[in-house]
Amino acid sequence: MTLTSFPFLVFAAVTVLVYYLVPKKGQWMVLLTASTLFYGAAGGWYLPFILVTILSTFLIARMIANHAGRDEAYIAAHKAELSKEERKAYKAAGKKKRFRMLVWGLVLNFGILAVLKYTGFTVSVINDVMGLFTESRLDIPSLILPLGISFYTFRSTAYLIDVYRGKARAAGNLGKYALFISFFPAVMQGPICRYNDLAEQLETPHSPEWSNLSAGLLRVLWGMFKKLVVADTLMGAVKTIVSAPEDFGGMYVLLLIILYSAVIYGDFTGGIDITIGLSRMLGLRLTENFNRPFSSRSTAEYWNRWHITMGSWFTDYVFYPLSICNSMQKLTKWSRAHLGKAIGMRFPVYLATLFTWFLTGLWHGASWNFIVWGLLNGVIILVSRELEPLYGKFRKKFPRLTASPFYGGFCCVRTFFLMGAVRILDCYRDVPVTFKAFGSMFYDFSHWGDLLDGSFMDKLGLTLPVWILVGMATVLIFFISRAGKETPVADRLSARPVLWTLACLGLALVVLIFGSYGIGFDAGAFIYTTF
Amino acid sequence: MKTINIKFIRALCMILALLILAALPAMLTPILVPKYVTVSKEGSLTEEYYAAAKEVGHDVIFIGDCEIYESFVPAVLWEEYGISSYLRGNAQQLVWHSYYMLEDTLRYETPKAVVFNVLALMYGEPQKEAYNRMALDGMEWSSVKAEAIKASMTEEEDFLTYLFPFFRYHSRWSELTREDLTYAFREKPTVSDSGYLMQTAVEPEDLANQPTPSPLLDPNLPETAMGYLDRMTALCKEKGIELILIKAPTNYFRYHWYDEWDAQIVDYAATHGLAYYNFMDEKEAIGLDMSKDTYDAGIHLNVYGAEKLSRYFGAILRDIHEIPDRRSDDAACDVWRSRVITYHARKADMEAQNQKQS
Amino acid sequence: MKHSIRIFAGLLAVLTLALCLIACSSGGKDGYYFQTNSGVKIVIGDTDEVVTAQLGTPISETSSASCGGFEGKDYVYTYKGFRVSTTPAKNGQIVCKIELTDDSVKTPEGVYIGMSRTDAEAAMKGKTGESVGGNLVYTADGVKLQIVFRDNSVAGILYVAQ
Repeated sequence: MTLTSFPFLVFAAVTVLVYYLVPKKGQWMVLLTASTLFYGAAGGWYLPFILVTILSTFLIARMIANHAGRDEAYIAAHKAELSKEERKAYKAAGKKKRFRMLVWGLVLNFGILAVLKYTGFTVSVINDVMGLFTESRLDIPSLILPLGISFYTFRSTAYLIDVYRGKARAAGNLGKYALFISFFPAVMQGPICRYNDLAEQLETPHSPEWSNLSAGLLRVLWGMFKKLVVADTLMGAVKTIVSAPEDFGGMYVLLLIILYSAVIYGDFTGGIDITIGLSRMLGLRLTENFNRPFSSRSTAEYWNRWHITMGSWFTDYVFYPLSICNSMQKLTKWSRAHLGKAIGMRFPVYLATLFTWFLTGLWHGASWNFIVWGLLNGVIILVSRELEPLYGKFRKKFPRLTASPFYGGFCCVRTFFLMGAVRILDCYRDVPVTFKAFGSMFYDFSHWGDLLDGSFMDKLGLTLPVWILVGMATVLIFFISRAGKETPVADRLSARPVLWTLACLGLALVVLIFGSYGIGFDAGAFIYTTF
Repeated sequence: MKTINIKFIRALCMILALLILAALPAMLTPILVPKYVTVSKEGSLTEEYYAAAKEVGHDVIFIGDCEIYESFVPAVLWEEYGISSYLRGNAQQLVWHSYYMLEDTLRYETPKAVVFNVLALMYGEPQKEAYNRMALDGMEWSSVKAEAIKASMTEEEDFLTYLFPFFRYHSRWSELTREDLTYAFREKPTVSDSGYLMQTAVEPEDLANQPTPSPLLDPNLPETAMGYLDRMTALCKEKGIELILIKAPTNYFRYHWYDEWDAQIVDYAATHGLAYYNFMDEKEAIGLDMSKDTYDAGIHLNVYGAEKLSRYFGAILRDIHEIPDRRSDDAACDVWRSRVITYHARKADMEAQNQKQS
Repeated sequence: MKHSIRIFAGLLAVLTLALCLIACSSGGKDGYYFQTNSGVKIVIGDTDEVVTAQLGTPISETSSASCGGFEGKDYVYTYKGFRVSTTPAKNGQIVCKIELTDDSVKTPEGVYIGMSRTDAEAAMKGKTGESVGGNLVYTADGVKLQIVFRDNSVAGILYVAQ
């Protein structure tokens, strides 16, 4: 059941209806039932996996919280008897025990993720290495990959770490906690909500409110528009280019950068719009995952605007802990002493950044493509940081130029193509093919004629009316996104019933007529559900 | 007061939006559905029957796949023997399509004989969505159509798209032609002559270059297919209709009719007291010359071959199955005179076009 | 509380063990494919690129249009020892049937035309097949490998879509 399928829409509508019809105390149970049905419908065998994650993180979080509570109570009760040092030692011993519990929880959950998602890749790497010495190969096992495992593992482990750090209270009700992990609109592709942001909302009773229902519905339709009219329509052209890189080099790779950017934007932000819109209809406010990413002027800014919840997860739970951990501090000291101040200061930060991006790549998929994609992003961010003094000098020297909209636009376009160029690693079958295809932009000029005489349209399997449609849709998305800079357009329209009606009607009709759904289209699953 | 007004406006907007949302796709559907007038004409065959059934009764109904609508010419059967007949065939019309096509026909008339071509019995499962649409979209709505759809759908299909074809054909917005607009709200010209789809081209059979058929995996025809043949036999018996089984004279390697299957049908016909004619062995008696009488290298007969086969089979229908000569019935004569004129005019027109092209 | 934690932990341990079994048993299986003597792998459902780019010039080629006037044609390419049929599909012209025609080629499992029934069954040992009309059909990942016997020896080997 993808988010744009007819069964899902019926399922979501029934859920919203039942949610508001039952007594308010039972609303969370409606959502838990809906989430279980939704997840079970995706694959009955997936349920035990998410159940283990729910049970293990719930249980360990309770143990950590109980242990911390007992320690505090003990210290409070024996405050007079214990010296300061003894209290400190007692606290440290307790923290160590709790850390051990946390590690068990993380090892179990990341272990499941690692085994299911990365065993095939690991075996293929071992086979490649073995290939240098022997002809025998290991069989690559085909393992089940539960729906949204990367997302719910991150959500649950973030909760566990937050409880350990004392930033979140441990959930007291297993059912409500299970709902937080498996909440059906967000289980497939995020956003990766934090426990403190969502749990309380899920427990709070909600009444049907026009502003929530209307703005939510409009956002759902907007998401479907992005996914079905833009992303799925262009996906065929993207597949054509990447399936025959020897035939579609040069200009087509440039086209791929643009088309795949539109596809991934429509696909991912469309899916998140549906998720957030549907949650809004239920009276819940999820964390935003995008903030006009293609208006970013730099790579660092882009990553603050694109897949925000994933970025903040890696920052909070990988980058920061890694940067301040004991070993890293020792490394900082060592590198300062042995490599000089300039390099010594940078070395640990570089290492933490690259390691974080390596993991980010690996999280996206078990292949060299994603690893290289992650590392390239890390390298680009570090190079940008190194070049910052130069940019600063440039800005000082040409203040009027760099403050002009033209320069701003140039920076946006530059960032768009830079990120787009790295992103094509998602598409091609392996890294060498990607680099070769990328390189062909600079030496293979034989396809530019196709662009001039329009034959590229036919070669990519899309007719002129479809290109015009997608072009108009992209322009519309650009303006709506700009207009929603301060207050989301859906909220503004919901205050004006006639305009809201026209907008809903227009969007629904456009999606119904021009959307890529039904037979004849490989109604692609959302790209991020596979990560 | 102000609150009531806002609530009223919101409710009104909602209702209006829903009404327009429901009405617009319904209004757009006639434009978006394929018209099957110049391309894939087979898609028009099912719907053309209903007007014909209102004009005159048919004593013989032919049912089956392309080997039906390319092999028999009702106009010739009328001209030569006074037999009033109609072909209810379609591209890759599988046996369940045929069974429901028969049930559907019986809602309008009860023929004396039903002729069924056995080739489609080789398929035990739905094959291609496109063929389902061509065979079933044109069928008038009834419980029979609903059953036919349920029996025919491939895994990727959805019953809802037959109820609301908009959801199936919405993506045609970018490939609409003048034909789609012309016939959206206007009657289409008929593409067939009483269900016969004319082909006047000639492409000789090339047996030397035809690969040998694959070895037969299962000598038994699929149980599902035979189950529908049983139902067809029972239905005909119940209605007092004579069921005649035939195999058209063509036997292309891709759709090879194996001896083992033929033996099974011979047995079946004997057991159920049915007539079975395998015309593959009677090419000479029919007078077929496969260097001239096929338009696609031996897969189907062209009009010249179909006329020969119709003359041959017409005599069998008259002499053995006692199908009456209706040429003394004035009302029938009027209808058939017009159909025969249309047939000859179409043939002359297509031959002229062929000559022009060559 | 301690008691319920133990129950939870026990349940968790059992579930985790069950996961290992599920993870291993529920994954997909590789489908059957044919490999030519020169090492070209042909898979049912692949685009006809394998024919046009890798197999070289066929001994003969036959084409025919589908009933219904749909775009595209069905093709049969005959090579020494095998035939490849292609048909139009959503993603282009795809391989829909592979048929082995003589003993100059064999399946990756070692089955070839003319092989005795006993040897063919031994070669397929460990694979789950079903008997259809006295012949054997093996299905995996949407591909059927059909082994047809006549007089107790292999008379036909076909790969078709499920």
